[in-house]
Amino acid sequence: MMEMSVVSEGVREAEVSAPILELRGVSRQFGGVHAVEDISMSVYEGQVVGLIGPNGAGKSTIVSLIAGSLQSTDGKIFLDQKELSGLAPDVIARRGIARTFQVSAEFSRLTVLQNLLVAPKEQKGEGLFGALAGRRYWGGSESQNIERAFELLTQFGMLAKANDYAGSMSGGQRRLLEVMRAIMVGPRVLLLDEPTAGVHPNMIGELREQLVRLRNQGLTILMVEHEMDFVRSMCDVVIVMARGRVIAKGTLDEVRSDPKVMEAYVAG
Amino acid sequence: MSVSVQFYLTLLLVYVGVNLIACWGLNLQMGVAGILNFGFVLFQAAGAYAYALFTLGPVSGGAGLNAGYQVYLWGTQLPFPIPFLAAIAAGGLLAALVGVVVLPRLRGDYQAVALLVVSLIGGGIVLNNISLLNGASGLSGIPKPLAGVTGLSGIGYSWFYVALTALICLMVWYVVHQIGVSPFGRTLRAIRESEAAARSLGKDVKRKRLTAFIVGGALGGLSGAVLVGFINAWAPASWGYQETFVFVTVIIIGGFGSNLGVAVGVILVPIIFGELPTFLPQLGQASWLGAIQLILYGALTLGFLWFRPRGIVPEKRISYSRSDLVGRGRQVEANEMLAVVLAGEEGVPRHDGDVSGQ
Amino acid sequence: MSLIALYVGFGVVSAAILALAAVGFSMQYEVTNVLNLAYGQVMTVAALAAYAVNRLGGALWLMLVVGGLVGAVLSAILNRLIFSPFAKRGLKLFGMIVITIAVGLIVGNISLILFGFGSFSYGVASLTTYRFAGMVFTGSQLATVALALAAMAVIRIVLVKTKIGRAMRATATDPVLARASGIRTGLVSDVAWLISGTLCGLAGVAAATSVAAWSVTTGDSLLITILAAAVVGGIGQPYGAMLGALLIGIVTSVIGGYVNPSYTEISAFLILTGFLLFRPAGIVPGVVLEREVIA
Repeated sequence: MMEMSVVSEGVREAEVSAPILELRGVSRQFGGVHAVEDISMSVYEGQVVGLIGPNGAGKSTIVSLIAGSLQSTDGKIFLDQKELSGLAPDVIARRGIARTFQVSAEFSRLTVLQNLLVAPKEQKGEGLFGALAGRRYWGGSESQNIERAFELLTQFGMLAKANDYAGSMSGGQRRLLEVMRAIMVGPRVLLLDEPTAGVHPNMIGELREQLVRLRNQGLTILMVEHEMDFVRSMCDVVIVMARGRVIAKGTLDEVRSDPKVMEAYVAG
Repeated sequence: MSVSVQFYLTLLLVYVGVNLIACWGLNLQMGVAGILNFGFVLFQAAGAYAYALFTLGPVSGGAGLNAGYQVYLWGTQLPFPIPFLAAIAAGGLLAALVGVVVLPRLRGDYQAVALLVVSLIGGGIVLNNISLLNGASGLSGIPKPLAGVTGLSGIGYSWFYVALTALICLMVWYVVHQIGVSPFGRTLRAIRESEAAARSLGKDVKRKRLTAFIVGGALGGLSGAVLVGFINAWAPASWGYQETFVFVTVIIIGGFGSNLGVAVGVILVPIIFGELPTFLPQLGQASWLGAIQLILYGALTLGFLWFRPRGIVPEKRISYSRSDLVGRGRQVEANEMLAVVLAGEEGVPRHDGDVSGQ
Repeated sequence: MSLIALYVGFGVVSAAILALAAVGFSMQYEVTNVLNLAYGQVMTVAALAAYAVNRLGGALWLMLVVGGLVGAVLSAILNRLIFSPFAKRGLKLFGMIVITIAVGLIVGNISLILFGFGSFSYGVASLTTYRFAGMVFTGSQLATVALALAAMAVIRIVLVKTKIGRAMRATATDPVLARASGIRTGLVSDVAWLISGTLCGLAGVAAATSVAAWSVTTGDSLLITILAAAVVGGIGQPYGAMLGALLIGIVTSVIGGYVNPSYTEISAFLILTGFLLFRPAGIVPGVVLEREVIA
């Protein structure tokens, strides 16, 4: 499938270097039916890319394919020009891609804080022998992680919930928790699957602020999102999908005036 | 206290210790890591047989008593604590083999059934192949550890064994407690709650679960050794799948995932509910006793899962506050000052506090 | 050679019974979403009821009817009283398995107290024998095999072709969604337990007919092979369970009988391990693992 030209200026600048994340002709079938078909897209470092489209367009499938929880039936996926296809989700995560889930997947019988503490990579005391060595071995790095977790909780306005069970959170709080948890991994690319779904309007502002701050620090974000105001204020580029295919790319305003997109939304 | 009461008491205490070790091991697998192991007793059996084979001596011409009347594949006689270590290794090794086959390949429901089937078939193999481990009659005359060294016999030795069991329990407690409070334990619990989410955070789920499974299996093996070291006999009848169910009951009643809860469960369940019916006036034939006990276990499990699904002592919620962090920092400073004081003028403060930087 | 044929014949009979039981077990899981480890005990109770009919002079067909009925009713009662209330509380897979074991212990040990430890036999084994390609079958064995095949076929058709069958599977997969789409889930789940319980009861009677002596714990030990067959077949896949049962039944019978009786368990174990290693999704490929990945 041919690359569509992208007109936004910020994007052009970024395209001078190679894409950090690239999909080439990726397809996925479920029992003969294509969930996504022949998808190609490039995401550049520091970009925020929105993946929009009507329900059933295959947006979440793309997230799962990149994260490795689904395997593509065709095509290739690259992170920094290194192929990801076929790797297990945990390997992909260790290479620097963190994600949230469409259906919240919090660790419900751990506290909010503990949820965050699970995330950091290569923790001391996370293996058997480190654990047996006791707190004096892992306590130091643990304290640092706790400090960072408290910082995030403060920024997202969830400090008061730190020691509550994650399972007792509201739907919106779980979303935020997953975003925070993904950030705790220290990823290079963050995949967000409907991060604002169910989140209280007041909190969406905070979420945006934090994501912008992270973007400014160089984090690359690919998000599936329905809330158009959020997409407009966050995304440098949007990719529109319908029926498993990419039908348009560009800034939100560009794709909005695209007749194919309008048709897809009306028909979808 | 009369000697017979003392014997009964020591037997009871050793049983408590054995069940503690086993249930802590199973709780690590099931309560913490979320692996539904209905075949746990297999690992206890492996440890028991390993202990027996490492103490009984060669098959023919072994230590007087057992020579000739029982057959087994291989045997040797090594001093304490090697047979116990062999039991730990046997349980761990078996867990590694079973775990490698079962854990990464199967979903939770398959795992539960496959582990149950493996343990049942394992029992069948031992039962029907007498040349392996003496079949249904099992092994007996298994030597007591350190009996010669201590020079004790009778009730004195029994109390010595109680102390030995207690010491082993303490060591096992250290292991399961350290795992429980560590980042390792937290990751295992996270995997229990959502494998997919744990994977998305880069956790090597297969490896972590296998590690927990092996440690649990090793503890199961150790519990078997402690048991046969005291009762000196072991047969397939001792490890039906009902035995695993008793362990599961203990964990559910005590508190799924909670080591303290498991300890409470170990004392409550087999002792009170297992021994209680023996003190009841005879309700019918003596043979009903075992049946009544198992009915009680079943009913208790249902009752607890309905009324108190998290058990008597639920898994502890670990809370932190920012002042904790500051507080811990202060404490380290205090420790260092104390170290300076203790070391006097010649010493350099030792940095062994809980905050050691990286 | 003829001896092998003989043992294949025995294997076919035991496999047919095993298949009946394993298909029932798998189907129960498929339509109720409960992995019922009390299955063996329900089989036993049905066999005991049939034994009572047998003592009163009832014919084989009456024993089967009563056994099937008892299996059905007992299963439905257990579901109404215990399984369903726990499931409604949101108990997940693990908890439900523990509950079925607990129920199995209670049912099994109550029957132990009521009926004792002795073994019994129906005494219906007909003396007429039929020979076929070197295999020898008795009349009652042939009847059992025929019954097993017929029952499986009928129930499979009910499950796949009829509206209630589809409703059962929809309810098991997602009760909330099923209820939202107008399925009377309570009724459907009762029917699911009645039907799968019938199969369980029939299997109990068939098993008791085919062994020389039957005791209260026989159903329990039969569960091992049922589970092994179900795992080999891919849990929750009745066709797979049937193939698994045939494979395990015939292989263990031939190896146990022709080679060495003490290899019976080992051969079952090897089959199981082989499948776990190389075909973890069971004989019928694909479906189950795929479902997990999507969820």
